Amino acid sequence: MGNLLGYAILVLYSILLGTIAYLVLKKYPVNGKTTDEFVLAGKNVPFGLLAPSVFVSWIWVTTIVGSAEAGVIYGISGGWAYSIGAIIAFGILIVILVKIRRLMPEGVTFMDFAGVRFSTLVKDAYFMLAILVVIYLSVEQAAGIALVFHGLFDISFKKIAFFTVMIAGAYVITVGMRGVLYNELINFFLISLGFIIFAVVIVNKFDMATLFDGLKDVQSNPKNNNYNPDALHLLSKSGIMYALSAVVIALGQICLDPAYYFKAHIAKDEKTMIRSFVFGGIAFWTPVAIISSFVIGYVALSKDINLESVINRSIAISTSILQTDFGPGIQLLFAALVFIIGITSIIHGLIGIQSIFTMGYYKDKIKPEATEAEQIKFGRTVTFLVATLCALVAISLEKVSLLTIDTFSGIFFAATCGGIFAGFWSGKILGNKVLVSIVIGILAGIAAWIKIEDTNIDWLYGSVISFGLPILFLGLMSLLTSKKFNFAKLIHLGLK
Amino acid sequence: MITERFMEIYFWGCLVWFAGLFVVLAIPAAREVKKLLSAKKD
Repeated sequence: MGNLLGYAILVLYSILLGTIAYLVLKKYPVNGKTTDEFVLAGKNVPFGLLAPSVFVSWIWVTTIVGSAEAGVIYGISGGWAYSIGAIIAFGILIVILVKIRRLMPEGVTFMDFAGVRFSTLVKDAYFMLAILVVIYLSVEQAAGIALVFHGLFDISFKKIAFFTVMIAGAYVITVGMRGVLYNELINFFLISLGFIIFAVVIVNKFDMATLFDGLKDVQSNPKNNNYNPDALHLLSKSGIMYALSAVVIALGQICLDPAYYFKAHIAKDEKTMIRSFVFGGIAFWTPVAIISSFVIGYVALSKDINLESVINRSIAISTSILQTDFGPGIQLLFAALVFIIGITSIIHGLIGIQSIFTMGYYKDKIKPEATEAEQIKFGRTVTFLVATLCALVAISLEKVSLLTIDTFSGIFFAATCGGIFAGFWSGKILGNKVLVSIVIGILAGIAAWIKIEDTNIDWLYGSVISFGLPILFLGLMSLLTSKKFNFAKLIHLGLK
Repeated sequence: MITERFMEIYFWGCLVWFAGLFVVLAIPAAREVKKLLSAKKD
C-alpha cells in the first residue's frame, strides 16, 4: 500500500506537469520558436510570476530537513542560524544581480561578465563550475526525495531518484523558461499551503510545552542522546558559527547557479526584479527553515532521538518521527511536499543549464552562424544529457551521506566567491589570477577538511579557508597591480 | 536561556509571518494563474 502511495505522487505530479505544459503551449504558441520566448519568456515577467518562482527555486529539500537537523544539533539557535546564513548569502546574490544588470545590461550571468572582466579562460572555468553546481543541486534533491520515499514507503531509492530527475528534464526541454515559471507559480500555492497544514498538524500533537520540555532535557540531562548545554541559548556560540558557515556554503552555490541570473534578466524591470528576489528569496523564505526546526527538529529532540548509527541524519530525523507518531495521511503530505520542493529545484537547475547552452554557447564555441532553431535544439539536447547524467549519479548515492556531499560541495564552491567579489569590487585587471585563486581555495579548503581530525569543526575550517584564501589572494593581487579595468566597456556586451 | 513562552511566541510569530506573506503574494500570483487559464493567446 505504502509503495503505491509513493508512486501515486510521482504519477499525479507528472499529470500536473503535463497539464501546465499543455496550458502554456496553448496560450503561447510561439514558446519554443524563438530564443527570446524559449529562454527569456518574452522578457517581461511581472512580480506575480517572478516572486513565487524565486521562492520555489530557493526552497530546497535541505531547507526543510537540513534546518531540522540544525535544530537537533544546535538547539533553539539552529533554526534561525540556518535561515540567517542562507538569507545573507541570498542578499549578496541580489546585489550581484543588480550590479550585472547595471554594469552590463545585455549580459545575463556572471560568466558573461567574467568573460569581459577577466578572460575567456576564467569565463569557461565559471561555465564548468555552473554546470557542476547544477549537477550537485539536482543530485542532492533527487537523493533527498528518494531517501524520504524509501524511508516512508519502502520504495526503491534508485527508481525514485532516476525518474524524478528524468521527469524534470523532460518538462524543461518541452516548455522552456515560461513553462518553468508557470509550474513554479502553481507549486508556490501547493508548497505554501501544504507547509502550513503540515506545521499546524504537527504542533497540534506536539505542543510548545512538550517541545520546550524536550529542549530542556537536552540542555540539562547528560544522559540525553542529544545532550547539549547550549540547547536553550538563542545566541549560542555554536549557532553563530553555524550561521557564518551557512553564509559561505550557500554563497558559493547560489552565485554560480545560472537560473537565478536568467530569472533576474527576464524581469519586467529592475524594480520588479529586486522586489521579487527580496520578497520570494528573503522575506517569504526565512520563516520556513525556522518553522521546520520546530516541527521536525524539536519534535525529534522531545522524543530523545538517537542518530548515532544513521548515515543520513536529516532524512532519518523526519521519517522516523512521522513513522512512529503519525498516520499515512501526514506521511503522504510530507512526502508530497518534499517531492514538490525537490523536483522544482531540479527543474530550476536544469532550466539554468538549458538557458546557458541555448544563449551564447552554441554560437560562441560551435557554430557562429547558428539559427535560433539550432540554438534551441542544442540547448534541449545538452539539458537532456545533463539530466540523464544527474539521474545516473543520483541513483548511486543510496548509501552515501548527503552531509558529506554537502560539505565537499560547500568547500569546493566557496572558492569561487573571491573571483566574483573581485570582479565587482576590485577595480583592477586581474585576468587569469582569478583561476589561480579558485585552485588555491579548493586545494587549501579540502586539505584543511582532511587534515583536521575533529569532525565537529573540520568542515567549518575547510569552507572558511576555501572562501577566505581566494579573497586574500585577489586582494593582494589588486594591491600589486596598478592597471585599472575600464567598466565602461561592459555596457554594450552580452547576449548573443 | 529562553522560556516556554518565548518559544511559543517565536514559533507562532514565524507561522503568522509566513501565512501573512503567503496571502500578500497569493493575490498577484492568482492573477497570473487566471491569465494562463484565460483562452486569449499571447
